[in-house]
Amino acid sequence: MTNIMDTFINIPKQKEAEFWNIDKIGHIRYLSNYGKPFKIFSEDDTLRILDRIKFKNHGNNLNDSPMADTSVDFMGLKMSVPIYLGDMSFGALSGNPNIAIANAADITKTLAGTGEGGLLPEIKNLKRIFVQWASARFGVDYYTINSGSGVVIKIGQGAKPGIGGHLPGTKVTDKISQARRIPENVEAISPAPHHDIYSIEDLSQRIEALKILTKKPVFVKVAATNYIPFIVTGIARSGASGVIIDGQGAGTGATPEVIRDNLGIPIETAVASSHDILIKEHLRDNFKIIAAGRVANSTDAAKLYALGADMVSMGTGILIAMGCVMVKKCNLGYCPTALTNKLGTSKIFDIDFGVNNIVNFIKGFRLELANILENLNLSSINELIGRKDLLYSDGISNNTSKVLNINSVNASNTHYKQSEFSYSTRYLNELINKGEIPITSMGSNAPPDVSIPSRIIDWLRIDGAQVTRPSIDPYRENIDTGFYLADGKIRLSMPVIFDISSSSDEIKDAISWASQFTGTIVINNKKSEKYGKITVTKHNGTYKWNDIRYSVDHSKDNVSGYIIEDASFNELYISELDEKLKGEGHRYERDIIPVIENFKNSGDIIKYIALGADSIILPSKIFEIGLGNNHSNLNLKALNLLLTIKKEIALIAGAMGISNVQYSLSGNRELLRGINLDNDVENVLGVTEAGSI
Amino acid sequence: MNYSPSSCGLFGILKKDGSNKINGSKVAKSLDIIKYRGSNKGSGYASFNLNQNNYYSVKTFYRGSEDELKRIFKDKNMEVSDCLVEDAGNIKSYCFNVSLDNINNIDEINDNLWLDNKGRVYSVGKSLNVFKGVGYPLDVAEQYSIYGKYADMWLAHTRQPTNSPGNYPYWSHPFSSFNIAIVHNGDISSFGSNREYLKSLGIKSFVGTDSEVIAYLFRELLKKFDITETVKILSNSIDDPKIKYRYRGSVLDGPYTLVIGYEADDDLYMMCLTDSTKLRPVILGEDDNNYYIASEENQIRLINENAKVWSMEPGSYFIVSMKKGIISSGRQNRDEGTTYTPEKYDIDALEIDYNKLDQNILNTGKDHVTVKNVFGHRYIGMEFPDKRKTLDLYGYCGNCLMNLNINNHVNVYGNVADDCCDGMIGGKVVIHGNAGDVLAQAFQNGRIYVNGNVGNRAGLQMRSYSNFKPYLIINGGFDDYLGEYMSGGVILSFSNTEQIDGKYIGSGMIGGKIIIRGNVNKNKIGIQTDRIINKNILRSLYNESLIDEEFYSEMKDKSIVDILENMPEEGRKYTDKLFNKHEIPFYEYRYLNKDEQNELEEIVRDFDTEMGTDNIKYLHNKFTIITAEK
Repeated sequence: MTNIMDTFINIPKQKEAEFWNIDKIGHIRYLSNYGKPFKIFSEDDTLRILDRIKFKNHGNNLNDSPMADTSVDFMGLKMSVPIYLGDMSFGALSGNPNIAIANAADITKTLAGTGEGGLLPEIKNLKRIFVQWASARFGVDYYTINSGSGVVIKIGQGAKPGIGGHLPGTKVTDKISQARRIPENVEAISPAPHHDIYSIEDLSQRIEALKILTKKPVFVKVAATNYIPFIVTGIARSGASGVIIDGQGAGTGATPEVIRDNLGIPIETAVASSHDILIKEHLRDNFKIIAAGRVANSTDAAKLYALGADMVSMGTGILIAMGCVMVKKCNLGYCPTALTNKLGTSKIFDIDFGVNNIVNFIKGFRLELANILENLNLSSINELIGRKDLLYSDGISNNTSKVLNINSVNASNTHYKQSEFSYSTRYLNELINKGEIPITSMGSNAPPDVSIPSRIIDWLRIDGAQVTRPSIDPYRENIDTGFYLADGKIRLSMPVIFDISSSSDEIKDAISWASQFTGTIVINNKKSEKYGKITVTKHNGTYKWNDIRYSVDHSKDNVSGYIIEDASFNELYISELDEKLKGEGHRYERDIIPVIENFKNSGDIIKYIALGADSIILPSKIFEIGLGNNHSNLNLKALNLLLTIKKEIALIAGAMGISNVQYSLSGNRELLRGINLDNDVENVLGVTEAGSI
Repeated sequence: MNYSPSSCGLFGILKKDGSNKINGSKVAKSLDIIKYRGSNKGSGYASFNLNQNNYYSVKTFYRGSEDELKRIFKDKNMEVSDCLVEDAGNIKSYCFNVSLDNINNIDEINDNLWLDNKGRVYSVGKSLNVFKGVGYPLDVAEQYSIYGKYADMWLAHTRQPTNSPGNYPYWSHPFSSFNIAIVHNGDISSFGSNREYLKSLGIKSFVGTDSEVIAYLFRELLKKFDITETVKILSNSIDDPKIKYRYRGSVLDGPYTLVIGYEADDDLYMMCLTDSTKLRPVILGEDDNNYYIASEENQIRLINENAKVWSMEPGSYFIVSMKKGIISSGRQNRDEGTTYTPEKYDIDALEIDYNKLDQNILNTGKDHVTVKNVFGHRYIGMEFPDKRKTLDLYGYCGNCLMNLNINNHVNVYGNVADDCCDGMIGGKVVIHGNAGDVLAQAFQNGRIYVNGNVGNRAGLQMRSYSNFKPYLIINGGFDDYLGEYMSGGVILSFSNTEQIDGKYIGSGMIGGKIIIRGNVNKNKIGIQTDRIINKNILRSLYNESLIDEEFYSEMKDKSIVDILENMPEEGRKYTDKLFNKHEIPFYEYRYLNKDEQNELEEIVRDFDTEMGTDNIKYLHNKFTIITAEK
């Protein structure tokens, strides 16, 4: 029996901190039901930077028929409101939602991006669409690329900067095969980079080619990463009509969790600094910025317009308008609301329901925006775009407000410890039991924006390769995660060493065995018979392996390096010791190896190494936590843990465009950015603020 | 001290011993024809003239008076007398000689000058002279009268920065330090690590480009190693673990093509390094008088249309000296190509803009058009993918030839550059020379024939669907990642040239077939674990009695392909965890079966007709056949 989805279903209880919380979803549902304004100038007391940006003087009247003009001209299209319905592909969504979105864009006089899924026959004659040219060329030919009103070259997305895509063969049905121009029932891989775009000059070439081919505007979509202001000017100089910048935490159909939760920077800092640098370089006129990633309501949108966005893109918001309840199972194919489920299953999404809801939602959203304009004494949206003078920040660090380039009150450093640390048992459990990189979907709840930070590294984000260098596929291309230590006498296959000294014998044996298999070593109180060769012994602050010595005493000479055992905030010690050794001229003869007692995920390892660690020590306790009470198949489970950490290190390195982790990452603070982190801490660490020019 | 990425075009030329010095106008023109890779934001030249001087020529950009600058040098024990002042746009360039003994304080001077961006020493060398400014290649050439200058070696560079921090030439290339000049195209991901390493050596101030960092690394390494070892350390090709460890801060990663000029021991050296996957374009060349390094073949052909040219292997290096000749060629068994000229033609493309050839072809109104002097023209065929034309193209076709082709038939007499036939869904492209990198990406239907060799990633994500099926037939060999992510169609290589097979064949393959004449080394299939890892794996399986001693000793030096093929079931439970999927495709060495022969016969005959080859006879030979699964 076919089950038609044409109504909202109940939202499950949210157990953890969620960006898309019940209030935000409720707001969208109200607009979708009634097409009337609900709430403006919403204030949320969170650590998200955008929530700490406010409008200076504004009224607070909300009426149902505001007069302010929200319309803009965009690339020859008259838009009722500058909203872009963002780039959700046929394949990621189940078809009917794609049709609903494209039709709603037509009715509401907005614009929809098709994503990398080719064109469904039902929408190919609609004009308010941008078609996509992406790394796998899905659905691309002369005719589809000429449909619609413009072309988007998709370099990256906020939920997974530097990561390719994968659609399982079971999802590649006849219809998807036709639309994507790929074989049926065979899985579809999107390469991580465009293999014709390894640099900005290559991007210029592809933009020029697509302009010759289509005579239409070409946009470039990138994830917001460390060099975003420079990447945006590069795109502007390359002849593109605009950029879609997708911030950290944005939604997606499928992404490795460790990437989503560690890479990329917030959209608000990216837009603010990109807008400024474009003006400085005289490139801002006739170049459009579309801001994407966590645009939850008209207030978020209004702030982004004022920071410099010409348009905002909404993806998750539109899905919620169509009934999404954020169970985050898109990648598994059994969406309870039929938005992202596999084709041919019994649930079918009702197109009219989708169209009506989106039309209502955009209507309500538009009316809210008009109300915001009126309360700011503005008569049209054009008067809001780039008006940083209307904004101020409240309670953020000096470095952050410098990047935003808006007035600041109560400038202050937020203390880096805001909550008690807790392990992610679910993540560890998944690593240990499945031995695969955990894949998830939709937006992130990572710190500092949503979950409350408990460690310094929670405030740091990792770079993703976008345009200036290609990202690398960690599975099918060559990435070296190996590390040389102790003057080249130790070679590890990855910069991770387990300290097993506090565990039971069976756990010790399992981790030792898996370490040998993987090509790394362990630390124990004494050498075991079986694994003596790969065991470093520790005693009274000295770590020994053959004639090699490491010490916890950082003033000692005649050692191969130093262990940092102090558990909390050792990020600061690493940086200080790194600087000290460099000053003394010994840095490249000695190793710095800290213990990560509070291990959250493999992103931690990357951050520690970028801060100056030469490898890290993990306590075997994390294996025990992940195991829970089930102690069967210990060798296999230990192997799962080690190999998956190794794969995740390669995955992140590849996403950063790094082919050799030791050479590229060691002490490379350029590859990190602070997100409103305490400025004094940023100084000690040598880390730059996100969005800095 | 910010780092901002840029894009660029480059050129290098070194005269052979006994040949005439090279005129700067040739260099400027060879840079100018690829100016679309750069911008008006920065260009530069470096000349080397071997001499017996006992002083260094030092050049400094400075925003103050000559007297002030002289005082700064005098404070560091460098007496400056004659000073040549040149206009470098909105800043002055001061050039003067400093005796050899006192030169070591230059870094300190730079640190002080850079504190308030007041100036920068940008060229120091006995035979080296850097000329750089803000402008297009010809503007800067004009500014420094490059046309009237002659040199033994030149490097040249045009740059498009993403960010121009003030209109000063500090950030233009070449970068130089003590007899070294460097131009570079790419984005060094190791930049931050390399800079940390240099800081630990006491280098304090940086203008903030990766070329500058590379110039310093080169200088520092040369204090301890010879040229070849220095190049090996930079490009991660050194084997000694201790050197790998101690110099871990001086290895380069990320996409790069690096051209280095260097004077030492009364000789001049020109070098080129490519990253491990050769992500930036580069072409090498040689003729009776000169050696060449260029971003594009047309830059070399502009100086000598009959020069021998060859591409570089990924992760390789080219070293040539004026007196010793080629020390390392950048490719084993190089294939230098042939040049062709048509008897009759419809269009001479020499004076046509790089992106305007299509309009000229359409203007002829003819269905069959012959073009001569194709000179790096890009996007050919983009304006008429479905117009059923026949084109004969003589010369060197630039990037993006016949992208999205539907039904045109194109014959290329010469080499083609990168990104040829991307997204092609029909028609035929016949290349009589070599093809560059990423040939036939997402190729879905039709035929592509290559008489020579192909570069990296040929047949990348080729696919077939419905009744579409693509065929890529290569007479010669291929570089790395042949058929990566391939999901349909056939790649057939006859290996008729001397080119060494590339690595990582069929990595990520999910369908289709790669057929290579001869027995390909198993180590070159897909992405494999290295020997050390393999040994660890075997050792731990043996420890748990999952394999026996015999298996261990038999397999310990074998490839992972062999190990996995023979692995007993109990061990497989663990080894399966090593991979995700599609890292290593399935490999066979065998005769073609009847179906395969029937399928290929007509195509190979057609190939032979087009190329004048006799490959049909090989169809009964043994082939290496690579597919996604058994």
